Amino acid sequence: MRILHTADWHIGQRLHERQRTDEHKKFLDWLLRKIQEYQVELLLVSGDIFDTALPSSESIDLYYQFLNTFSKETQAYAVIVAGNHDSPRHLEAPREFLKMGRIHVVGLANKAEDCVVVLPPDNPRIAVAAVPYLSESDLRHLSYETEADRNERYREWLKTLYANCISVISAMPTELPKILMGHLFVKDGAESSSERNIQIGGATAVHVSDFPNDVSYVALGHLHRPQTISSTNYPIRYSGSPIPLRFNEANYHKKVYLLEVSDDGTLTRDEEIKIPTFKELCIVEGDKASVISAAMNGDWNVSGVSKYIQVKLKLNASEVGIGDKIRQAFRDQGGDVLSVELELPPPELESLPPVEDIECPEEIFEQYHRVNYDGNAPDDDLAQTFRELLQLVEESE
Amino acid sequence: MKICKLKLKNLNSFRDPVEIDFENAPLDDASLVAITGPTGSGKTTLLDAICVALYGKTPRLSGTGSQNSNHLISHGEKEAFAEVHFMANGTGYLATWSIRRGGAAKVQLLYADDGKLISDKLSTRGKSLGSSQNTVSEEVESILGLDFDAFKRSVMLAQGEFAAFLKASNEERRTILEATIDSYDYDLLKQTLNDKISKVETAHAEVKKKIEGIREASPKQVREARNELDRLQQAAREAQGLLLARQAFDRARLELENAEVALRSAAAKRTAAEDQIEVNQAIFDETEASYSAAATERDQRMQVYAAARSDVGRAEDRFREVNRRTPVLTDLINQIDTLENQLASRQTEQTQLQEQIGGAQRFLDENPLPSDRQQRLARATRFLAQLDSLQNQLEDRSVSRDNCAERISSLENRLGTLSRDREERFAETAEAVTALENADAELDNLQAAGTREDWDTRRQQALQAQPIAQRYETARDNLVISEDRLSELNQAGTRLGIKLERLEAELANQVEVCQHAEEAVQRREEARELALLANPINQLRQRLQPGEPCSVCGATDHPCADVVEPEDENLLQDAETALAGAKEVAEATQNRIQALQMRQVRTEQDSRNTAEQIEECATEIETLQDETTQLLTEWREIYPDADVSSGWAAERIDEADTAIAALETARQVHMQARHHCETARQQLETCESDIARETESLNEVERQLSELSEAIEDLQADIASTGSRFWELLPDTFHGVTPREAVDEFDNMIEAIGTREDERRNAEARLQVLNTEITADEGSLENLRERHAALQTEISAYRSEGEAFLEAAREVTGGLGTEDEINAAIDALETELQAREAERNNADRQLQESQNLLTERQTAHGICEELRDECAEGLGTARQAYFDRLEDAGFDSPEAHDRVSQDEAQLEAEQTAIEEQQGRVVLLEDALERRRALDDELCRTKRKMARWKRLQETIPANALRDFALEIMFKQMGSLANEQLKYLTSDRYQLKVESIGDLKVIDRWNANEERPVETLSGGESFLTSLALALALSELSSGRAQLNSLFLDEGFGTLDTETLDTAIAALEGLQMQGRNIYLISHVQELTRRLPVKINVRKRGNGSSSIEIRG
Repeated sequence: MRILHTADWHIGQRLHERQRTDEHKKFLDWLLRKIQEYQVELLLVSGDIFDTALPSSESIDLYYQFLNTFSKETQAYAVIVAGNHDSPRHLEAPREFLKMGRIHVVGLANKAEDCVVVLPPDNPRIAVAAVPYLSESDLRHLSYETEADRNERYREWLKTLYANCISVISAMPTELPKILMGHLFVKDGAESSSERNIQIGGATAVHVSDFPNDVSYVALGHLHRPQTISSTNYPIRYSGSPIPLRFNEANYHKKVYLLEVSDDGTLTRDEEIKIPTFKELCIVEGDKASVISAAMNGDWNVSGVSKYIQVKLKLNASEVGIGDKIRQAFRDQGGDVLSVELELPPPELESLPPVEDIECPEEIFEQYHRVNYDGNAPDDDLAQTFRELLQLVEESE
Repeated sequence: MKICKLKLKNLNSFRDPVEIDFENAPLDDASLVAITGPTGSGKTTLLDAICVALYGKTPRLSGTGSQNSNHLISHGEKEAFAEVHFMANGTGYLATWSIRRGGAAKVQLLYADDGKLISDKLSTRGKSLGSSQNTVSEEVESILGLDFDAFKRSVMLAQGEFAAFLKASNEERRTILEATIDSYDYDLLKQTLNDKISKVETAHAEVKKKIEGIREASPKQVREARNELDRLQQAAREAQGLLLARQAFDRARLELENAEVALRSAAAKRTAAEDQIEVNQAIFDETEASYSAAATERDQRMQVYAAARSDVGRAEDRFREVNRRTPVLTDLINQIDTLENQLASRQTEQTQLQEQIGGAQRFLDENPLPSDRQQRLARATRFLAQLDSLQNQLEDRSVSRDNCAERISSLENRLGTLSRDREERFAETAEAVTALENADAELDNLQAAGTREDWDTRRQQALQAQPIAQRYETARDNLVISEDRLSELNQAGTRLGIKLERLEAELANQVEVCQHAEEAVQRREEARELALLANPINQLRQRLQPGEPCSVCGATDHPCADVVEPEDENLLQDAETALAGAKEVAEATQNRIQALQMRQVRTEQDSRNTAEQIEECATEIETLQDETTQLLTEWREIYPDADVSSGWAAERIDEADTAIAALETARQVHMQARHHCETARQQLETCESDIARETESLNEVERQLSELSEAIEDLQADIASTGSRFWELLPDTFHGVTPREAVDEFDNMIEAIGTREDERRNAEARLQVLNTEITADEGSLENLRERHAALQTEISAYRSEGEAFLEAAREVTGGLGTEDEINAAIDALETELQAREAERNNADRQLQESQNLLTERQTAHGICEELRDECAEGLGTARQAYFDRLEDAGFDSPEAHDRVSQDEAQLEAEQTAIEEQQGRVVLLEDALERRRALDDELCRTKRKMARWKRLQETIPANALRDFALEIMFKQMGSLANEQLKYLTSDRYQLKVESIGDLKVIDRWNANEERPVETLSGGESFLTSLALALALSELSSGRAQLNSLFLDEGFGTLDTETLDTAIAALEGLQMQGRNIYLISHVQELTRRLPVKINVRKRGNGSSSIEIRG
C-alpha cells in the first residue's frame, strides 16, 4: 500500500492579513499531481485542514474542490482527521457522502470504532486508527483536581483510545498492517510558534511510550516543522505544514512523506518529497541603510509573484514615516512588505508604581505621596492621619 | 467561573419553562454562540435569570421597593423560578431562586455534586438571632470573589460602552472607569475628610468657648486661700488638743493590745519552725552518709578503671602502629607485584627478542645471496629494460603481422564474394540476352500482320466509315417511318371525306326541321293573340298603367288591375305554354343546326390539313431517298466490298486498337529487355575490374607479411640472447618466472635481507639493555621482599602486644574491653554519685530553708516584741501627754474631762469656718485645674486641626482619586495589551501615557504611533474589545472567568472587519472561554453556526430555540 502523509494545511490562514488562498490552491494542485505521479493509494491528512472553526466560503470551496478532483481523477483513498483548529462536527458532517468518493473523515472520537478505518473496504489491506484532536474541554470535570492530574487523565484518555483502536483492529478476521493518526503534541517534538498552544508548557504532551506497539507508522499533525520522533522501532512523524505559516517557518523545506507498507506491515519505503515554494517569505534584517540597499538590489519578484517580506529594522529611536519609506522601496522592486518591525525593544510602558493591590487606598496614598513629594513616603504623622480617615470612612459605611 | 446550565420559568416574557444546557451539544462544542432575537424578545432576560439566581437581583431591578424582583414575574402568573448551575475553581454549584407574587423570594445554594446545602438565607436580617449562616449572595460573592457589580462588569461585557470609552474626554474616561472598576470610594473619602476637618474645627471652637466660660482662678489666689485655711485649722487644732490627746491615748492602748496578740502568734510559729529544723537535720544526716559511701566506692573503682584505661590506651597504641604499617605493607606488596609483572614482561620480551634474532639469522642462512648482488641487480635491470624494449618491438611487429594476416583473409573473402558476384552477373547477362531475342521475335511476329502505320490507316478508315454508316442507317430508318406515316395520312384523308358527306346530309335534314318549328311558333303566337283578344276586360285591365287615368272610369288608382277572370286565364295560359314549347323546339333546332355547321367547318379544316401533311410527307420521303443514295455512294468509296454497317466499322476500329496495343507492348518489352541486357553487361565489367584491383592488393599484403615474419624471427633471436645473459646474472632461485618478476623478487629479497640484518642488530642491542634491566629488577625485588618480611614480623609483634594489654584490662574490669565501655562504666558511677549528691544537696537545701524560715520567724518574733515594747512606750507617752494636758486644763481626773468635753459648740463653730474655707480652696483649685485642662485640650484640638488640614492639603480635591484611576488605567492598559497582542496577532500595542493620552503602536509599521481617534472601525473594535476584556480581568476577583456575554457592539462593522472580529473572538475561545454574543446583526449570526434564538410568539410569550 503506497501512502502519502500530510497535515496542517490551515486553509484560510492569513499572514499579516494577507489571504493565502492562491498558495493553498497551488499546493493542492501540486499534491494531486504527486498523488497521480507516484500512484499513491492512500492519502493521510492529520488535522488542521482549516485555520478556523468557522472557515470562509472560499476556503470551504477550495477544500471540497480538491476532494472532488481527488475522487474523480485518482483511484486513491483518503483519511482525514480533525485538528484543534477544525470544528469536528462541521468537518465530519458530510462524512457518509464523502465515503462514496473513497474519502473517510473523522471529526469526533466518541469511541474507538469511530476511528478505525479499514481500506479498501471490500478487500482490506490496511487499518488506520484515525484519532482526531481530543479537546481537553471534553474531559469530564472532576472537582478539586489539580492541573497535573487533569493532564495525566488526558494522556490516559488518548492512550486508552489508541489501545482500544488496536484491539478493534486485532479482532478483525485478517491481520492487517496498522497505521496511527493523531493531532497532538508528543514530548520532545520541536515547536514553531504558529501552533495555537494546546497546552502551554507542554504539560499535556503525550509520551512516546503511550503509543501501542506493533504498528507500522504514526502519522501526526500539529507541529509545523517536519520531524520524526524515532525512539521506537517505527517512525512517529510530523509531516509539518505544506506552506510556511509564519516567517520563521520559511528557513526550512516543507515536506510530505511517501511511504510504502507491505502486507505484513513492514515499512519498505519511507521518503520525503519536498514541496516547492509557491510564494517566498523573506526576512530582511539590518539598519535603515542596509535594508534600503537590500530593497534596491534584491529581486523581490519572481516571474510575476512578489515575495512576502518581513523587515526587522535596527533603529535607535523610532522614526516617523520610516515604515512607509521601506515599504515603498520594496514595492518599487516588486516586493510586498507585510510588516516592518523594529528591533529595538518595544517602548516599555511607563513603569507602573508598584501597587500590589489597586483596591488598597493606603498603598495608593503612599505611592501618590512618593510621586508628588520627591519620592518620599508620607511621614508617620500623615500616614496615621490617613489611616484614621480610612477608619472614619469605614465606620460611616 | 463557567455557567453550565440555566433553567427559568415565568420570567418576564418567558412563560414556559426554558432550559439551556451549555455543557451539552451543540453548545459545548461551539467556539462562539450567538444569542439572537428581535428587540424586546427577552435576550437580556436570560442574563437577568443568571443574576437573580446568583445575587437575587438584576441589573435592572436592584431588589427593593419598586425595583423589587417581584416585577420579574410574567404578567398574570403567580410565581417565577430561575436556576443556575455553575462551576468555579473546579467545584460545581447550584443556585436557585423562586418567588411568589407578593411574597418574598426563596433562594438556595447547593453543592452540585452531592446536593449539600450551603445557604438558603435571603437577607442579612435576622442574622443576630443566633444564625451564623451567610446569605446566598454573600456565599456567591465569596465563591466567585465578585460582588454583584463586579459580576455584571466582568461577565457581561457591554462592549459598546468601551467603544465610547476609547473616544471619550479625560473626565468622561475617569467617570466611566470609576463607574466600571470596583475601586475604593474616593468620593466618600473626600467627603469624610471634609466632614472631619469641619468637626475638628468645631471642637476647637467649642473648647475655646468653654475656657471663656470658666471663672478666673490663678495660683496666687489659691495660695492665699490655703494660708487662711491653715490659720483656721491651727486655731481649731489648739482647741481640739485635749480631745486629740485623749484619742491618742485610747489609740495607743488599743495598739498595745494588738501588738501583744501578734507577739504570741509569732512565738508559736517560731516553735513550729524549730521542730521542722530538727526533722530536716535528721534527713540531711542520712543522705550525707549515703553520699560519702558512694564517693568512696567511686574513688576505688576509678583507680581500677584508670589502670584499665591506660592498658586499653597502650593496646590501642599498638593497634595504631599495626594500622600505620599495614598500608606500607600493602604498598610493598603492590610494588612487589608490579615489579614481578615488569620482570615477567621483560623476560617475555627477552625471549621474543631472542626468537627474533634466531628468526632473522635463520632467514639469512636460508637465503644466501652473492656479495655483488647490487651490481647484478643494476645490470639485470638494464637487461630487463632492453628485453622490454625488444619485447615491445616484437609485439608491435606481431600486431602488424596479425593485421596483415587479417587483411589477407579479408581480401580473400572479398575476392570470393566478388567472383560469386561475377558468376551471377554472367547468368543475369545471359538471361537478358535471351529475353531480348524473345522480344525481337514477338515484335517481328506482330509486325507480319501489319505494321503500326498499316493499322493506323485501317483504324482511320474505319473511323471515317463508321459515322457514314450510322447516318445511312438513321436515314433508312426515317424513310421507313415516313412511308408508314404517308399511308396513314392517306387513310385519314379518305375517312374525313366520308364524315363531311354525312355532315352535309344531316345539316340539310335539320334545316328542314327548323323550318317546321318556325312555322309552329307562328301558329302558337296567333293562337295566343286570339286568346287575348277574346277577353276585353282583361285587355283593358291589361292596358291600365299606374298613375294614368282609367280609360273606363277615369280614376287614377286601379285597385283591380291585376285581377284576371279565371276561365280566360286558363285559356291564355294554355296558349302561352304552347307558344313557349314551340319556341323551345325552334330554338333547339336552331342550336343543332349551328352545332352541325361548326362540325362541318372543323371537318373541312381537318381534311385540308391532312392533304397538306400528305404532301409534306411525300417531300420528306424523296429527300430521305436522295440522302441514302448519297451515303451509300460514300460508303462504297471506302469499303467497295462491304455492306454498310456501323457495327462492322466499330469492329474494325477495335481490331485496329488491339493490334496497336499489342505492338506497343511488344515494343516496350523489347526496350526493357535491351536495357536489362546493357545494365547486366556493365555490372559484369565493374565486377571484373574490382576483382583485378583486390587481387593486386592481396599480392602487396602478402609481400608485407613475409617481410614482417622475417623481422619477427630476428627479434626473437635477439630476445633469446639478451634473456640468457640476463638469467646468468640472477641466482637460480629466481629463475622460472618472468624477468620482471624475477628482478622484483631479487630486489625484494635484497631489501628483506637488509631489513633482517637491521632487525637482528637492533634486537641484539635491545637484548643487552634488557638483560641489564632484568638483573637490576631482580635485585630490587629481593630487596623489597626482605623489607616486606621485616614489616610483617613487626606488625605481628605489635598486634600480640596489643592483644595482651586488652586481655589485662578485661581481667581488671570484669570484661570491659574498650575505652568506650570503660568510659560508660565510669559515667554510670559518676551518675550514681551525682544522684547521691543531688539527694544530699536536696536535703541540705531543705535544712537550709527551714533554718531560714526559723530565722525569719525569729526575726518576726523579735519585731513583734519590739512593736509591743514600742506600743507600751507609746501608751506610756500618750497617757503622760493626756494626763499632762488634763492637768494643764485643770481637770483632776479624766472623768471630769469627759463631762466637760460633751459641750463642744465652740469647737464646732470653728470647724464650720474651716470647712467653708476648705470649700473655697477646693473651688479655686478646681477652676484652676479645669482651666489648665482646657488649655491642654485647646492645644490638642489645635494640633489635630493642623494635622487634618495638612492631610487635606496633601490630597486636595480629587487628587488621590485621579491618581488611583491613573494607576488603574495603566494596569488596565497593560492587561489590555496582552489581549490586544493576541487579538491582532502581535500587531497593535497600546501606549498609555496618562488617562488622556492613549495611543496605539503599529508594530508592523515600524512602531508608528496612532492616536486612538484615527483607528478604523475594525481596529477600534479590537482595541475596545481588548480594553473590555482587560477590565473584565481587573474585576474578575479570584475566579477565572470562562463564560463571557458580549452585549452588542457589532452593529457598525463591515464584512471584512466582522471577519477579523470573529477570528479574534474565536481566538478567545481558544483561551478557554465560552463567548456568547448577544446581537441582532444578521451577518454575524449567519456566520455563527450555533445560536440561541429567542423568539416572540403571538401570545406575548417568548421561546428559545437552540440551533447547532
